[in-house]
Amino acid sequence: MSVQSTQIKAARPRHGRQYWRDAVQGYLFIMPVVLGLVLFVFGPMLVSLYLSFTEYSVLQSPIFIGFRNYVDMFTRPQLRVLQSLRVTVVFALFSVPLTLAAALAAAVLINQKLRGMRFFRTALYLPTVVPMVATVFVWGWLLNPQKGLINATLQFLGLPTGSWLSEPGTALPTLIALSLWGIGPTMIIFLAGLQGVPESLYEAAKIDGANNWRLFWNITLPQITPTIFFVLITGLIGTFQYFVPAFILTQGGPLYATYFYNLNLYEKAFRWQFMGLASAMAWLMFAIILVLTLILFRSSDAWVFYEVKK
Amino acid sequence: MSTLTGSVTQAAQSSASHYRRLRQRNRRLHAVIVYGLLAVASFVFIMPFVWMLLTAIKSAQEAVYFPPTIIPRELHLSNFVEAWTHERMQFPLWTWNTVYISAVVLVGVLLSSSLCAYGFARIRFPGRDFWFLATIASVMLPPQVTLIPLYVFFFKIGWLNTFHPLTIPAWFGGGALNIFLLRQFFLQLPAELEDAAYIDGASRLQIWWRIFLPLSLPALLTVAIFTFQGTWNDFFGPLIYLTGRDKYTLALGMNLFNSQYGAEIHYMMAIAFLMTIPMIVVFFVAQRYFVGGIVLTGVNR
Repeated sequence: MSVQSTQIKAARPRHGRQYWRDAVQGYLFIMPVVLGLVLFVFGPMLVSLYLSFTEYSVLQSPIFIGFRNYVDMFTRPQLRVLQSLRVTVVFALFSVPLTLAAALAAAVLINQKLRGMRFFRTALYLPTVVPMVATVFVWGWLLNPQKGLINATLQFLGLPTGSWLSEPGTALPTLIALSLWGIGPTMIIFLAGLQGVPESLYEAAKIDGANNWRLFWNITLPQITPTIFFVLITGLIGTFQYFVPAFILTQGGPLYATYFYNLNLYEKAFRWQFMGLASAMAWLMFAIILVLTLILFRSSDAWVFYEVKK
Repeated sequence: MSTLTGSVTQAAQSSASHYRRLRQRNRRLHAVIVYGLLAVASFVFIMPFVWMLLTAIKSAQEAVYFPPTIIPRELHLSNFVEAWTHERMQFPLWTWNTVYISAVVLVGVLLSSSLCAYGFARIRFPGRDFWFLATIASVMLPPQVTLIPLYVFFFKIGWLNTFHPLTIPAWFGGGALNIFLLRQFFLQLPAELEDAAYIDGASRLQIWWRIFLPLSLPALLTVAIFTFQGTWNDFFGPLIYLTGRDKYTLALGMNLFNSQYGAEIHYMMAIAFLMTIPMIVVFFVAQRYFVGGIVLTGVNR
C-alpha cells in the first residue's frame, strides 16, 4: 500500500496544493486521537509528575514538598508501599509463568488435529468473557470455608479442607491459582503462534526420527519465543493492574496478605485523599514496569531469536 | 547371501507392520490423553458457572445447605425476578445505566478509532508517524499515572457522578489498540477503490463512511465486541467516578448488593448470572461473525 501512495506522491510537485490538502485532512482525521493524547495522556502525565512532588487533597491546593513522597514510600512502613509491592511481585512471580505455561499447554492441546477442538476452545475462553465482578462472586462462594462447594468436595473425598481466602498464609496462593482462570486470551495468542510455525520444520525433524517431546522442545518452543516474549510483557503490566478480586474478595486482607499495589494506590488516593503520594506511587509503578520491560528487551537477544539463528 | 537378504526383508516387513500397529495404537492413546486433559480443564473452567446457575435456582435455605445439594430439590426460577426487583436495589435502573454507557462508548470508539485509523493508513502528511508511534506507545503507560489528574480535572469541571468521565474519553481516539487494528485492516484494502471514488468526486470523509466502513465490518465487529465487553464489565472506572446510587452500573450495584445482602447468596448468584447472559450471548453470536470475517478477508485476498 505504501508503494501505491509513494507513486501518487512522486507524480505531483513537492509541497504543492495536494501536499497541504493532505496535511490538513490528515490532521483532521487523526484529530480525535491527537486531542485524546494531549488531553487524557500527555497533559495528565505532566500534572501527575508535578503532583507526585506535592501534598494534595483535591480540596486544598497542592503544597510542594520535594521528594518527600518518594522518600516516605520507602521509609514509612505504615504506608505499606513496600508490603503491597512485595505482594504484587510475589503474585507476578508465580501467576505470570503459571498462566503462561497453562495457556501454552492448553493451546498445544487444542492445536491437535482432532475433532471437537472448537468446543474446548470455547470452554477455556469463556471465563474471560464473564464480568469480573460476577466471576469474583462465584469464586467467593465456591471458596467459602463453611458452605463452599470446594470444601464440601474435599470433605466428601476425605481430604483436609482449607480456609482459602480467609487465612493470611493461603489467601495469596489462592488468588494465584484463581488467576489461571484467565488464560483464555493468552491461549488464543499462543494458538495463533503455534499455527504460524511452518509445517516443513516438523516434517524434516520427523524424518530425522524426533519424537513429540523433541519436536515441542526443539522446534515449537524456539519458534514461538516472540509470542512468549509478548505474553510475558503484557502479563507483567497486567499484574500491576490487579484490583477487582483483591478489592471485593479480601479487601487486601487478611493481615494485608493480598494488599496489592494497585489496591494500596486506590485507597491512598480515594479513601485518604493522599493524591500526591498516590501520584508518586503511580510513577514508581511506571518506573518499575519500564525497568522490567527494558530488562526483558535486553535479555530478549539471548533467548527470543537464539534457536532460530542456529 | 540370498537367504540372508531374504530374512532381512522379511524381518523388515514384519517390523514395518508391527510399527504401523504400534503407531496406530500410539495415535489412539494420544487422542485419549488429549481429550482427557481437555475434558478435565473444561470441566474446571465451566463448573463455576454451572454452580452459579444451580445456586441461583435454589431456595434461600437450600442454597446454604452443607454439604450442598447438587441438583436443587425445588426449582426457584422466581429468584431471578426477585433479585432483579429487590426493593432496596435498583437493578433495572443500573442495567439501563450500563446499557447507556456501553452504547455511548461503543459509538464513540467505532467512529473515532476508524477515523484516526483511516488518517494513519491512507493519508500521507508530516508528523503522521510521530503521532502513530505516540498512540502505540501510550499502551505502555499504566492508567494509574493519569488517573489522579483526570479525577481532579473531572472534579473541577463538575463531571463527578455523571457518566461523562466514562463515555467522553472514548470519543477521543477510542483506544490505541483499536486504532492499530483498524489501520492494519485499512492498509489491506485495495487503492483502486479509493481512486475510483476520487474520480467520481467523493471526499475523503465520504470514502471513509461509504467505502471503508462497510468493507471493514469484520474488523469493526471485533473492535465493537472487545469494547462492549470492556465497558460492560468495567468496575474500576464506575467505582472512581460514580458515587450516587442512582448512577451506579450493574458491576457497582452487584458489589453493593454483596456488601449489604451478602447472606442472600441465591440472589447474588441470580444477579451474577443475569449480568453474565449478555456477554455469553455476544460471545456466541460474535464467534460466528468472527468466522464470517475471516472468510470475508480470505475472499478479498
